[in-house]
Amino acid sequence: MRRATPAILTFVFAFACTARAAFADDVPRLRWDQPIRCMRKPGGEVVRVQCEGEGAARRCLIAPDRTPDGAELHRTRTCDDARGDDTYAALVRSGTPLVPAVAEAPPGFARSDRGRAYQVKFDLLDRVYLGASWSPVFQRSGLVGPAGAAPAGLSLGRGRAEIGFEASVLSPHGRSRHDFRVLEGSASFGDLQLEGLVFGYDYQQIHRRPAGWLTTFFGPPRVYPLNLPLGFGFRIVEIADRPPGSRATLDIELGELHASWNPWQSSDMYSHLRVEAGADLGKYWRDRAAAAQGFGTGRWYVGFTSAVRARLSLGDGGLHALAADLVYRRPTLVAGDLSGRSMNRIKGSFAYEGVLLAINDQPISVRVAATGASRDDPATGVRSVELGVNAGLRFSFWAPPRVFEPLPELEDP
Amino acid sequence: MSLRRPLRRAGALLAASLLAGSLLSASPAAAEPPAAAPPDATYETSVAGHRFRTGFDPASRIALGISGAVERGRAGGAAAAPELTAGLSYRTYRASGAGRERVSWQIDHRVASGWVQPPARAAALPTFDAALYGVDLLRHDASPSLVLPASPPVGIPFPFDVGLSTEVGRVTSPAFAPAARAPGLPPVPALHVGVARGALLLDPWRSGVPGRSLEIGLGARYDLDVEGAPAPASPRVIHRVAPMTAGSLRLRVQSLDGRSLLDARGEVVPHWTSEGAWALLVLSAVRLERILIAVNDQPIAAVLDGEYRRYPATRSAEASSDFHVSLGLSLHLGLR
Repeated sequence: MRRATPAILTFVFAFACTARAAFADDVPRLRWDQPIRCMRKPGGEVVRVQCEGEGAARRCLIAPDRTPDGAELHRTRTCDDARGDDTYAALVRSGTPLVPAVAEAPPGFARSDRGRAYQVKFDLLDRVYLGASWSPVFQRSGLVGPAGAAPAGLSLGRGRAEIGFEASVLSPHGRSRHDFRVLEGSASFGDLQLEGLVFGYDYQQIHRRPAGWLTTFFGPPRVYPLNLPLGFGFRIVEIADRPPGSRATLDIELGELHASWNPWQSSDMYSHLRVEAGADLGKYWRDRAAAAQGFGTGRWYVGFTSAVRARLSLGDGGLHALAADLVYRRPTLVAGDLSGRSMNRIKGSFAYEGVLLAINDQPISVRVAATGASRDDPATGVRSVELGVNAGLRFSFWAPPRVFEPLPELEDP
Repeated sequence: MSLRRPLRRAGALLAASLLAGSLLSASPAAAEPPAAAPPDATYETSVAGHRFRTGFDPASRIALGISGAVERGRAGGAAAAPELTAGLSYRTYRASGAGRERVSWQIDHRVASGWVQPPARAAALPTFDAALYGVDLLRHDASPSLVLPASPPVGIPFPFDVGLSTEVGRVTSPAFAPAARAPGLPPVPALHVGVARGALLLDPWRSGVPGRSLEIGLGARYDLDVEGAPAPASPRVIHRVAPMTAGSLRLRVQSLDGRSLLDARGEVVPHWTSEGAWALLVLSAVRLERILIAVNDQPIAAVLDGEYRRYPATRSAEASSDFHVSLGLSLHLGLR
């Protein structure tokens, strides 16, 4: 790994420089949001024409409608009329300066001088991703479980693979955003820590209409608007198996429901600071080996969940993002010999993810994260602590360009 | 056991109600009933232009409530317990004619209404009271008369509205268990099942306004007492039949905007039992409701409920008195 790192960085840097050269901004580009007309030159070549300015400042940008190889341009707007043979000649006769240009590209894309449209903005909340990272962890085990003590100290030679599907749907008419997480999972190599989530959902809104109306009947009836800047979310089946500090344990959270409040959120709700509080239900195995004998061997728990989460997109392109989570849960065992015992669980992470490059519009990003967790053993009350770092790459598929659609003044009633 | 004292009380109650009814029927309001039923809902508009509901139909709703109750506990003293209330009710009001020809029907349905308290112990039967279905019909006639089939027929003024009240499937599981008659034996818990009851009603108030009536009833009942429940090793069932001997009195008052409501009723039921003797059952209840707030036009009301029941002695249990008072909040999801 140590030997391979400089080579990877050299490759990435070289590739980045090449890409920059391809997007040199010395040739003007047709604008996507302005009218474009297609005209046929005397030789038969079709060009895309966009005129701008008035009077003496008027000029027309002329872009080929084909690549230098003669292939059709992709991701262009439909041309307006004027394909007649004499239209271009009339434009030339008018004396308007004609400036060679590159065809337009849709929002989130740029077009190279050779006519190829490349995606340059990415919505990393909408993707399927595969990731691999170096994941060293330091742990101070608090649990000497039936399966034996976990090795204490620092594990440097630890790797991690991850997969997941994320979708984030902005609803302009509802002035709301729906975040989905489906089949997320990760596995570490060496100690085989498994984490997974079957389904997660979060709703946030930036409504301007009152959520409801409160009428009071003390004296003359009066009505007051109820503004509830709240969202909600839930998780279905989250698994934490063999965490570094408690190797012998297995936790399956069957369901969780929470209310959320966003004290700050960007105008499109892409970035936010969120506070959550809720409750969950699940099963806990202090000795994970017992799970092989059936689901009934675990201990039921219910408990309080809370979290403070932040998501921040740096810049408009969606190329850099920060994420921070601090989660506190306090499940209480409700069955078995440890019934009534509560466990404190704290988990936190701070992560940066930046897109390095894109292959066929599929971005590859580097992700660096610092993580930490603390868990109480319900039998002994001893606390285990783990601190770790993740540094690796994520390969994202089908990440669309970020949408910057302005929200309407009011949501639909 | 002597029937004399409860009967005397019931007689006094009926006499008082008749007197009150006569007074009310003589009032101008009774002589000039409204031309039409009040609207189901009334609205006002705020200064900001928001239209909000200020009038409600308290008899057409799904009610979900939570309250704290004080009742006669298992040991005989007062005991407190939380309870949940629920129920569906729906009122239809139809009127035809105008002036002295006006006739209106008020029909109140109640479905699955009652309350339940969480059981004190696992596997114990919870304390509850719930009825499967009940309906009250009240017919108001602006010119009530009694027609004698003479030749020609003779019409005599009849100063009452008439109605019918029925209920099926009421089950009551009280917290209190009466003492056993035999010395040294534990109290005898019982489950009271009101299989069916029906009564003809006379309303001397004749308000003609929905939700306002004074109903004097005489009817029949069939009840079962399951003694020994909830420990039904060998439960003993006692059948109770009141052959048109159940007298009742009910006062219903609601404000025109439907935000306040009073419903008080008493019932005195001399009946024949399967133990081969006459006995007397006394039931009474009062309910006060006041809507405090509304969220999105769905009202939340403070509710005060009170009940008093006197069960007759049986071969195995002493006669007992039971009370239940609860105060809580109830969310009403309006059906009209």
